[in-house]
Amino acid sequence: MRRLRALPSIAILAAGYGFIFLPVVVLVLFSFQDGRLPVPPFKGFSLDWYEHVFANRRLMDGLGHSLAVALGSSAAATVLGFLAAWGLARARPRWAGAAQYVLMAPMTVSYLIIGMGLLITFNALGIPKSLVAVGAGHLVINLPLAFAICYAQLGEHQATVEQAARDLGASEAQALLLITVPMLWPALIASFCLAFTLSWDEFVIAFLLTRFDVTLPVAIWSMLRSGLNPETNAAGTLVFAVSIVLVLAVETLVLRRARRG
Amino acid sequence: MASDGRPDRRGGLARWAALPAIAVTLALFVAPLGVMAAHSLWARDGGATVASWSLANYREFLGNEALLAALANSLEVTLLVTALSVIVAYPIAWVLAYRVPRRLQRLALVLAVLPFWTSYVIRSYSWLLVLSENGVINQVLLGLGVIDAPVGMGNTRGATVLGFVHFFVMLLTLTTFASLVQIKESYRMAAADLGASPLQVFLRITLPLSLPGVAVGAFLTFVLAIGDYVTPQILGGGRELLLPQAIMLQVARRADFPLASAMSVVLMLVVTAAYLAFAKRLRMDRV
Amino acid sequence: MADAHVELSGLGRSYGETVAVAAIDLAIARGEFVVLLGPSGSGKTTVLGMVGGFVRPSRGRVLIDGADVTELSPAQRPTTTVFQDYALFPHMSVAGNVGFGLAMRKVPRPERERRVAEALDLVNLTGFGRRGVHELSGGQRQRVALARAIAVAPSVLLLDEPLGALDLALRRQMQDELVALQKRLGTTFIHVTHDQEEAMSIADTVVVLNHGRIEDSGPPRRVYARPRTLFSATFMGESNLIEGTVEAREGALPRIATALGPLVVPGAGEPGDAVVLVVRPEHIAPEGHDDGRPRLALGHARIASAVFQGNYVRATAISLVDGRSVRLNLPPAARIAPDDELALTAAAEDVVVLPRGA
Repeated sequence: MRRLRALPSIAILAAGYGFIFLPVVVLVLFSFQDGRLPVPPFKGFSLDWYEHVFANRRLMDGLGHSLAVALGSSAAATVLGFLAAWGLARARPRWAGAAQYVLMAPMTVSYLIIGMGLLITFNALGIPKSLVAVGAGHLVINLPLAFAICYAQLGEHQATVEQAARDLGASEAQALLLITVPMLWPALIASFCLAFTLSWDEFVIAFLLTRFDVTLPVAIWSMLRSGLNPETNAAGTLVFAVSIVLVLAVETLVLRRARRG
Repeated sequence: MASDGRPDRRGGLARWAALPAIAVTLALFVAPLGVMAAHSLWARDGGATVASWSLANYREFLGNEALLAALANSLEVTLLVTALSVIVAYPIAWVLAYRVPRRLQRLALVLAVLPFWTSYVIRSYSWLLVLSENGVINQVLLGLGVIDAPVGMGNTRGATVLGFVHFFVMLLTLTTFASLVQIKESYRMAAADLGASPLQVFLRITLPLSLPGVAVGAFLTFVLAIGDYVTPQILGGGRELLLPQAIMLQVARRADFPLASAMSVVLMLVVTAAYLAFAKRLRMDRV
Repeated sequence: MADAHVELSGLGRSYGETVAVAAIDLAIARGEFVVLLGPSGSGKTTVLGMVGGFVRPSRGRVLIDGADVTELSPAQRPTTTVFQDYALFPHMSVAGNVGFGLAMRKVPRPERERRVAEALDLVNLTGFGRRGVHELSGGQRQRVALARAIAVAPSVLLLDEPLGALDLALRRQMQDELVALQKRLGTTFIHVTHDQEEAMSIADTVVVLNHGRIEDSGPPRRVYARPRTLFSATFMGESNLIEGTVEAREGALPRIATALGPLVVPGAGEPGDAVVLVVRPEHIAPEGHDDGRPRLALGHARIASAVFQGNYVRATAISLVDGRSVRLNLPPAARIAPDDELALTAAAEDVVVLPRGA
């Protein structure tokens, strides 16, 4: 009856989604290109380029390095961010406001500048470029996120539950480990996965702070030198797929909690 | 005593729990920024850095045409990107908020944001593919007979803008959607009831009430775009430099940390200025 | 009704299998204060929505002043609605809100300001024009919503449970003000509520709805004293229900066989009809009470509880004849205690006879 009225809306959505998905579709489609150039026409379906990716030493090393950096920095960010959120939410010291400000500050600064600051400082201190340095940089950018996510979950209700545990004789550490951590488990997982995804994808800080052992995005970057290449498409598609899986994992966890809570 | 009068349960642990995170932030974020600020006042002599404490780097920046151009280009491009992204994202967010059935909204949003999760190196590269002379757009235009020969679209300011807008449209769709959805439906019903046409409902009710949320998204866009190195580097080619690229040049090619630091400080000042202007606006809206 | 102002003809609304409103017919006279009364789920809000244009009917028509407005949008109808949550525009001042409808009609500014001031006077908010919406109390917001709706001088004003969020004292006050306002404006009001006391206070006509159907409609006094259906009898105030069968007719009156014995009550019914007798708590009195009207004997009962409520005593008793629970109200001075035994009576003409399936 009112179908005609829906027409402009459908057009807007089609144009919008078309625009948003265009580069991704091209990326994924031409990673299966049976040919040398990842541009139309699409010559046929081939997994050759994925083979190339897995055979590419530099890429595979980069993958391993990325995983290590992401795991390490995300774990550290989650633990420190959670502890900070818990400490500030429970103890509420007078300097809590200032502390919050400091902890959230890195979110307002461009990654380029954070990377620059670390580069110059490490250089001045004689610390060489390395994956650990990148890990430090990723810790800085992920800490505010973990803090914010956990802090949001440490409200009044949660405080009362902890209080009940203390009342029944638990020490502070026991209440923390046996009550708070399990209760906040979805927030912790969400923080970890979000931090992992951001670290896994991150380019600028990794570029500035590595020399020989590089992360995956930096390795892909150097592939760009050789121009348009389906191998790059394949590498990009793999990175995309991993990120999607992680995001879906977080979504499911959040959904499950929402359904239970 | 905890501030709300509850019995003191602090014990030792909670009091100190935040300190490691704070220490890390101070050591790895605040201190390096301080070191960078100091470097901006120093000078490069031969291969080493000399603590000469002067504003020479800033003077050099302001006196250097190419570097100033980089700053100007960054401001132009970022403002253009912000404006375009808002204009493109708003209708999409509006349709998602008011035309898509409620049970499909979540799915629609997740889909709209899905390409977010490709790394920005990959995303910019993908646009290079689309815009290249053999790429999809050229093929379509050739096929339709609109052009006779392929047009090189990559490596231009337009390509950079396109790459940015693509990313920020996704971000702004999310934030604008959130803003639109919390406007009570009864406001729009009441306006219609009092005689407002659908266009008037939009202009007098929906748009004004959604603006604070849009403003937040636009601000975020500005801050993120102006500091981005990857998109202009991949899509802009060497022709026109934006500020992040100029900074990177000082670091990578010339290892001129003092000058790079000065330029970074200027970038941070621009962002801070934008933040102050925005925060003032926000405070006014609250009243 | 010959020249009804608002007419609902076969109006109904279904959502898939569920019938929210069955086909209803209702005629509303000009200048009437009509209240749609019913529990949640009765369809009363849906009916209001169909009159206002916010809900599309599944069947039937809405006519205003003889014109079929069924296909018209809310903006095109001569109605305005006062919403349950007031829906005041937060980014506009009180004057901006009240004048909105006038601005939509392109009324020039000087006249608009005059009419806004008039509307604010009518709801006792003179001088509030400059204030922001968030500065107002609940009662004040309610008045602004009202002022906004009447500023455009609508032909019909629709009110969707507007007093629900107010405390009791304020609600009573607003009820009086609403009635006064309606009389002053002469506009037809259609008001939705689930509160039967409210309905009785303000309505010229009460329309009782249940499960999407009209159970009863008429002046509050009549609907209360002589309900037409069992639902109406039990929803509007409390009722005791006595089942019975018509035995015979004694002249003009039926004699009804019940567990409490044969009762002769004015009403309709042929021998063999299954009926229910409705007796309200305030109409039951102990034996000995005599106001000159023929009384029925309702048997002996033992008092189970007697609670002083200020202007009456609220009592329940267990009938010694059939064990049923009886609700009765006694004068405040009554000296009654649990376990007292009383012989209960009621005036015959206070009792209502309804067919068993009503």
